[in-house]
Formats: sequence, C-alpha cells, structure tokens
Amino acid sequence: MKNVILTAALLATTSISFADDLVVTASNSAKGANTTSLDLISSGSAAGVQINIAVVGAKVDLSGLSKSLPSNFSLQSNYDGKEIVLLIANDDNSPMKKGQISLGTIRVSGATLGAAKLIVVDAKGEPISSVVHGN
Amino acid sequence: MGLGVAVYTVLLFRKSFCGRLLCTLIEPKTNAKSANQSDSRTVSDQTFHIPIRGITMIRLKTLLGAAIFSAVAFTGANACSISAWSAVDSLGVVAADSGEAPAFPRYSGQRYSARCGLRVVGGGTAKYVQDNTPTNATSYKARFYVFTGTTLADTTTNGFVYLARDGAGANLIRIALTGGNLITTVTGSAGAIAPIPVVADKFYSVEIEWAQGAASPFSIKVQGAGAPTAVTQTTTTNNAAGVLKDVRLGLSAGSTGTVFFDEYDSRRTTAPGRLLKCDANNDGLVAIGDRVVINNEILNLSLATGQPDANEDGIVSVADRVQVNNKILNNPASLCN
Repeated sequence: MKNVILTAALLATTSISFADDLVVTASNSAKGANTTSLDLISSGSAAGVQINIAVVGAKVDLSGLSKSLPSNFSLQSNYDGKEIVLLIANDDNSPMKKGQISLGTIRVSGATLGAAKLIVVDAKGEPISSVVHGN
Repeated sequence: MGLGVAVYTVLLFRKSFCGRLLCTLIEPKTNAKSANQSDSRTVSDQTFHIPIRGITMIRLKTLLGAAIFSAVAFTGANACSISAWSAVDSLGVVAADSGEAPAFPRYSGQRYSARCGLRVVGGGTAKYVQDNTPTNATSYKARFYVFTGTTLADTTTNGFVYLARDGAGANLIRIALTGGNLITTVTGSAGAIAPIPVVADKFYSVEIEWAQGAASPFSIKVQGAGAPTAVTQTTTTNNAAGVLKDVRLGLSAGSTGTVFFDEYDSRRTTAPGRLLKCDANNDGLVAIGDRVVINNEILNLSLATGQPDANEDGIVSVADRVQVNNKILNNPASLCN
C-alpha cells in the first residue's frame, strides 16, 4: 500500500516537473529470492534511459523485464556478475510517453541489489533531471 | 623539405584517417626511434607491435617522429602498458585500462579511444611520460587528448600537462591546465597566447603546430566536451635556432588532481587531426555498427575499439547512443557531426 501511495505521490509531483523518476520497489518472495519492480515516471521527453544496479555474485533473473514498454521502445539488459545494466531506447529518438511505465521486475537470489543509478536523456542526448526512489 | 631529401611513400597504420586500413602517405624522410631500440635509425616508417603479456600494443612512429599512445583491446589481464614511451619519470604514471575492474564498468575518463589511456595522479614530484622521437625537429605537428579530471584547480607555478623541450632541456612549448583554462606558453612568442577555457571531467583534443624560424607561426587548437567547433589561438615565434628534441605528457611537481591522456600523435609535416568522433567500431564511418558497439559497451559486454564518447564526458552511456542515432538520421544537432 505504501508503494502505491509513493507512486501516486510521484506521479502527482512529476506532473508539474520535467524530471524523470525511477521507482524501485523491493519485496521478499519464496525460497529466499527477492523481486524488485522498476517503474519509470516519464516526463514525456525521455528518448533514452539507462539503469545500472550493482549486485555481485547473485543469481539474477531478468526475464520479468519489459512487459509493458511503449511499443516503439526496446529494453536490452545484461548481468555480468557485477552489475545489472538496462538500456531502454529506440531507433528514432522519439520521446517516451508521459506517465508511469512499468519496466517489469528483476528477481535476485544470493545477494541484494545495490543502489540503482539512472541516466535519462532527451532526443538531443542531453541529460534530463532524474531521481531514483526506493534505493 | 630541403633539396635532395628523398620523398618516401610510407605506410601508416593510422586510426585517425583510415580506421583499421593501411593508408599511403607521402612524407619526407627523417629519423625515428624504435620503441625497443633506443637510438636506432630507420629508413622507413614503422608500426611496432610489441607483445606485452599476451597483448599487442601498437606503437606507431612515423619517419617524422610520430608517436602514438594507444593499444588494441584483447582479452586478458594487464592489457595496457606505457613501456613503449621513451622514458617514464616517477610513480603515479600508469596505463589506465578500461577493460579491467574497477575501471570497467563505470569508468570515468580512462580513455578516449579503444581500451587504454594514460592516468597521471598528481602530487609530489613531476610525473610524466617522454617521447624522444622529435629528435631535433624543426617542424612539429601534434595531437593528443586530455581528460581534465580534477586538475583545473591546480595553481602550481610553471605547471604543465604538456612540455616540448629543446636539446638543452629548455621549454619550447608549455601547456598548463589551471584555473579553468589551458594556458599555453611558447618560447619566442610575439605575444601572450590567450587562455582557452575548459571544464572539469571532459575530454579535449589539443592540436599543436610549431616550427623553427625568425617569425614562425604557432597555433594551438582545442576542442572537446562535445563542442561542435574548436577554439584556436595563434601567434608567431622568433626561434630561428630552435629545435624540438623531446615531449612530455603528465603533471608537474606539486600538481594536484588526476588527469588522463590518450592518442598522442606527432609528425613533422602533416597534422594528425582529430579522431572521428562516434566511430565506435573504428571503421572510418558513423553508422549503425557504431550504435551496436556502444550498446555493447553500455551493457558491459565489450569495449568499443574506436571513439564511442560522443559528448566527451569520459563515460559511454545512453546519451552517446542517442547522439549516434541522431547522426544516422542526419540530424544536424548531433554531437557526432
């Protein structure tokens, strides 16, 4: 419930700003694994998003990502044993729609996720002010 | 080029113009020093391949005293080395390897092109690498890249990031990074050279042209931080007897901060020019292949073998990918232009 309130509050906040926010919501699940959901609050100008999350030596399942991305965006992901990297972009740099966009979930066992780092850029490649909530 | 001096066709492995292709250039013959034979003379241009711990480092020295600090990425530890320089003075000068933890992922600075760069950490004695191949040159054209890092607050008297010296060890050209500017001092200059503003934690190319003469032109051209154009300062110098013997890149004694260098190239006649920005795969073009390579670097899959850092902030990120997209789409605002 708290997460819903947080997300709603962020939506209200970002509706009057030009920032893009990432909401990281962790929850425990069965068998010792943790599932973390990632939601992007888009200001309507992001053409590219990059998320880096440090996590060392974990078993990481990225199959729950990119469930509801805008159709013209693709999400690429990789875990190299040290860091999860998510890259969300498209072919023509058209901006992402405004509003909350679910990026999906990451399932981790054997370690905990570090703080997420967020880079959001507009169609010119210029950085957009961005904040991570829930680190 | 004097009367009777032969003109040779030389083959250069020169990334700045030809990607990984061999190009044919015509330049006058002069002396060059082998990377592993300190005073040998050669009769043709050379590309030196020096196996270092299972890795090949390319050392390019033209007949004109060209030197380049670069390395090719291969798998394995300790891929980068500074051993091909003529001399290295003091600890604190190391090969910065973007391919090794903790530098990769999430490096800052480290390199402009390919895998390796040169990291110099200030403090204490002077720390630098030295290239002796100019060897009494009377004409000198050079280019290097510098990542400003945190050195801009340095106020060391007579500090330097670059020195060109004569046979007596006196400075002919001194470039300092201080007070938010690149400050250039040239012996025999007709007037003070205006400071060139730079900002912290950005890559800049520095191009220098110097020659011996009673009223010889000198120029320094600086471009970086994603800027679409260069800032050039010129003067004339009265140095009819001046000969350029060696060059140093590094930090002077007492300097503070950390600075990175990459892609040093010097010649006697042709200016090296800037490397092609956004040519991440080093094929001489900016195209979809570069976006793929940048993607792979962002995802920690592999390092780009060319120049992926479109905004020249020392980090390859989604911002650079967007710039390459814009270039492919012929958007004139792309930083890749």
